[in-house]
Amino acid sequence: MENRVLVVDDEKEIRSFLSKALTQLGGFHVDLAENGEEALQKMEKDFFDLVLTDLKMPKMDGLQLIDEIARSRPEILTVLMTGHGSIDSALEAMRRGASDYLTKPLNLDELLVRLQKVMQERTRFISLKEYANQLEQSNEELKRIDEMKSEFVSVASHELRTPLAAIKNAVQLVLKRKTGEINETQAKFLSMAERNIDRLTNILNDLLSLSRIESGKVTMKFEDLELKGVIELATSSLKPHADVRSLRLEVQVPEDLPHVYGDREKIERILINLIGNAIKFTQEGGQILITAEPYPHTGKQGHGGMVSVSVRDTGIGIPEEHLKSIFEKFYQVEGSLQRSVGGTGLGLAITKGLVELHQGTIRAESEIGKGSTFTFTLPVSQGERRESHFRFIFDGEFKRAQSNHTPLTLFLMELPDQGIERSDGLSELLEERVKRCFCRKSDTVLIRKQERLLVAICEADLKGARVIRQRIEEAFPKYPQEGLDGSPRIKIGFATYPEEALSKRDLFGKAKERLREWT
Amino acid sequence: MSPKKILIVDDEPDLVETVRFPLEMEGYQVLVSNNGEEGLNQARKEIPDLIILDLMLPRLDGYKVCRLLKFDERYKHIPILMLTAKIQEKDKLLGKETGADEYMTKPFDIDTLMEKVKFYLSRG
Repeated sequence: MENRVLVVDDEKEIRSFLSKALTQLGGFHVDLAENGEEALQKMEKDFFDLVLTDLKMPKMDGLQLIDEIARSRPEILTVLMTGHGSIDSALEAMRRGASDYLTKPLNLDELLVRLQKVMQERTRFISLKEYANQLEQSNEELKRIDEMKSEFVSVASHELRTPLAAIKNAVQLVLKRKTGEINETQAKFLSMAERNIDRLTNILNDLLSLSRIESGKVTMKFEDLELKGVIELATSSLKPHADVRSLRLEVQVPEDLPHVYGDREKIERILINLIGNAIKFTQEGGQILITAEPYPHTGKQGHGGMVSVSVRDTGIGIPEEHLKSIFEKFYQVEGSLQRSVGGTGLGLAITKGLVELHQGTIRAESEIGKGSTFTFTLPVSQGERRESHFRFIFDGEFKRAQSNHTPLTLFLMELPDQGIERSDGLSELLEERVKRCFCRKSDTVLIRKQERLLVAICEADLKGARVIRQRIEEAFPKYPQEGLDGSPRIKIGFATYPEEALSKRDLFGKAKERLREWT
Repeated sequence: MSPKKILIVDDEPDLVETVRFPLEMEGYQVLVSNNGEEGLNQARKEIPDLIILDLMLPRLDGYKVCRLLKFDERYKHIPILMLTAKIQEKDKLLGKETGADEYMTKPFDIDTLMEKVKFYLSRG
């Protein structure tokens, strides 16, 4: 289709020159107008792809016209023609929405190339936009279908419950001899029916749980949790099942394991699923061990900000080729005990979903005949992260102070929001600036970037600490940008051993408290 | 002593039958309504000793029936056992807000239901 161009110029010669050039050489369909007003009238009646307009015209000039088009007909391209020396107007036109500009006297080749280029760009832009629209639409459609799917699962599981209840009651009435005596065989088969009703109910419950997890409808009640207690509770609730099969159930969790940030009920469910599986798939007399430790184990502990929990059994194991798929819905290991132990085939999928709701990961390792280990991770709680980090970094310094009877001051410094996360270079600069405030270069100064926290320790008593605090305050009068909304200064909290606190923990607690109170 | 009176409000005849039977075996007098409105009227008229109330009912749902009884001085002493096919936590909470004494999810254990009935009747 040929492109339509409207030429707007108050000089007749230029109009006719452009008309001829654009029609014959450019292959455009051309219409003409003498000024902005006439151009707008023509645009009401006809569609144009592009308006090529002069700057200086009576009635409505080029800039005004471009403004008007940008406001009311943004799909139409505009190109401004200016005389020499009016480059400022040309730039202004571009700012207001013009696609390009040309300087007079016009160079014919340049004119054609520029116009074609502008048109091409527009075509490309339009097809990209259409493509984006299509993507958006199909995305919406997918969301809608997914929504329908979850809705369907939810309704179906509710609808199935009432008939299930009637069946279960009827079976139980006969089985429990409420309707009169029955013989052993009748009882055996009715028990089988009852067991399978329960199994069906479990599948319904699991389906509903999974559907809620997948559709993001699960509300999480995050809190600071002591994992040891949660693990012990989950383990004790399954103890009777383990006892029946003479399995040893053991929990090994270090006392000083950092607290995690999680939803108590969900973590319990994860543990119950994994320990429950371990019990199911371990032969009589076997062992199940539940452990927890900071993750990753290498380097400074607690540094990665996660805790990993493992459930290890001495069971039948999982063939290697199945390990990857066991977290999929309804995945069953061929020839496994799955059916005979009455699983729903959804337990691990739910478990994985629940772990992921905590931003954690889960994996399985196994050796046939020797056993399986399921390991999942949970995030360390934020407040806990600072503490556990501290716990490991200043051990040496603190011990030295204790044995040499020298004073020790711990500084916690919180930096203003702006800047610190911008780049590593900046934080190094800050670290340098803080270091200069301390007495000796050897004093440890550490930066924890994500949390905007700077931790430092130095050999100073209370009096010395106050001097250092003053130096830091002076070094950071208005960090990072002078004058910007009078940005907050660095916040400082410190505590001194042995004057104010006797243990490392207290030292940290006191400094943290002061940091919080800092105004 | 006249037998204790129990009202079952549920629109599923089969389910009602499987609950009515063991209750009558225990010697209770059982009344049945199969929609919420009728259930409410019957509760007000008969003043039963206990109500087994389904959640999803035609005409007037179980929550409303429960609220109308539990927030009325004349009827609030009647224990209400709520039965439901919904298992979400928020539904459970809503049930508690309406003042139901007990909340059981379908399918349930018939013996557990009988124990609960016995418990609430002995309490009153």
